[in-house]
Amino acid sequence: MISRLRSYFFDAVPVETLGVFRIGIAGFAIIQLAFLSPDWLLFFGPEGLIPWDVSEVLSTTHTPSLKDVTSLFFISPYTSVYLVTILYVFSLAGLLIGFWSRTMGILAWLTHITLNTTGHFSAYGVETFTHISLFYCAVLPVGASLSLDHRRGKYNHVSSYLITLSVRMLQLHLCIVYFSTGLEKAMGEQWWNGEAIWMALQQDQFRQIDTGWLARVPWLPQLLGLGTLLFEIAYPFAIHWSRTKKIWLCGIAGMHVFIATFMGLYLFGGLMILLNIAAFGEHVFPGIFSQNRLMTSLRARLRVPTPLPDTYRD
Amino acid sequence: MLIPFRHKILYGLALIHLVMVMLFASHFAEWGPMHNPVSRSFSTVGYYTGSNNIFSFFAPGLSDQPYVIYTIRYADGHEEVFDFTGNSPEFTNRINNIYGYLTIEEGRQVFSASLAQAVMRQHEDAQKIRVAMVIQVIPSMTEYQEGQRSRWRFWFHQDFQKDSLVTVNQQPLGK
Repeated sequence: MISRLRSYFFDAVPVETLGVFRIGIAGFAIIQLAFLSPDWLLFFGPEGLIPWDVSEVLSTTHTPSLKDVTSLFFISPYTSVYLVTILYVFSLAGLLIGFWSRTMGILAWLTHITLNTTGHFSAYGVETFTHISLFYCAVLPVGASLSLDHRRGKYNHVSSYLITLSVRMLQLHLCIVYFSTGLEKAMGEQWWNGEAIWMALQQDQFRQIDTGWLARVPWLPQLLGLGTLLFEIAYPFAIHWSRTKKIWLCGIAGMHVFIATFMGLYLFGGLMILLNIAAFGEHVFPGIFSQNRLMTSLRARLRVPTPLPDTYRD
Repeated sequence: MLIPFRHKILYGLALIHLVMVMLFASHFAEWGPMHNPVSRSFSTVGYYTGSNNIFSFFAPGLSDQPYVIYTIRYADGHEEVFDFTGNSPEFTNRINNIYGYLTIEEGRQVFSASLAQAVMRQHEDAQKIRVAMVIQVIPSMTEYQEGQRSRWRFWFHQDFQKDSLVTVNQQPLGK
């Protein structure tokens, strides 16, 4: 048991996982920003849906807000919105190409916190996971692969076991997320009898297509409800077991495709699929990040060395 | 394998972080008052690191869906019903999150006024805004088969006058 734990936390894993994670998160955040940009001032502006005077008073997070930026730099409220937004875009672009990855990760994380503190009343799950991911981009050596930093030799000193620790943190965090959300769902009756699936599909907020026919086949929503419970609660174990890991990764991705398609939560579904693939893609499909044609081409361009299998690189 | 002391600290910090993620996911913040310095420190670190989240997505079940419609009255007396839809599908997801806060009675006044103000800014010649919340009541699968259909139930409304944005009329729960 101890040797397996030791192996889990110290054996080398492909460093590309962190590169894919960094590129995926930065790319996602840029797309999200593009989606939100037409209504940006409604969410984050001083006279938006929830004015700053209200969001400040009701905030309990003790994290910096756009109003704090206004006070700190003696600038107008709108200037602070544009300034923080520009810094956010700039840091995401830097993170995407892996230029000054650590600095850009910290900047993206701090600017996202600032925006999110101000707009937290309109924030939902997608912001939760963007925030978590950007924190990992700030503290983990995500620039160690597929980055300009790596090309410039900035991450040559990173020990392989720290890469392993970083990848395990991403993986274990996802395991905690799915296990806890599965358990919480299991405490209600709706997921056992399929009513949760039925209700979700009937809500006007999410309704994309007519699904009234499901009432005639109640076993189908029930099966989907039970499947959701099974896939979420068993995720930490099944994703690590060689016999079930492929089914679980595909099943969880399928669940998020379902949520995105039928409930209109495209960004949330997309982010969760991205996180799953980034964290477990290489574990479930060995070589997916390091041997396919795209990565081979990228590696050639960025001069990333081929990862050493099962050996420590330092 | 020899691990430098600095790296052992990193392993320790990683462990503490994951334990915090587990604790907060287990509703640690609701176990008791978070007034002592240790709890407060945990909470602040949690906000910054994202380890303070609970993951109750659609759990333990889904509830009836609140929605808000706005009736705008202009100076010439004519009225218009307005649906705040924004410019992207993501807008709907986000504003629905705000509508969720309107179901909390303590926050209803301030959130209604904020939304009314936002609508007023988009309709500068409006004189009065009515913020009305309705709830979508969804029948169970059995009830649906018996012929019941999803219906909207009025919950409350609040009226706001231009330039004052104070409530001029308020109707409580219409359950």
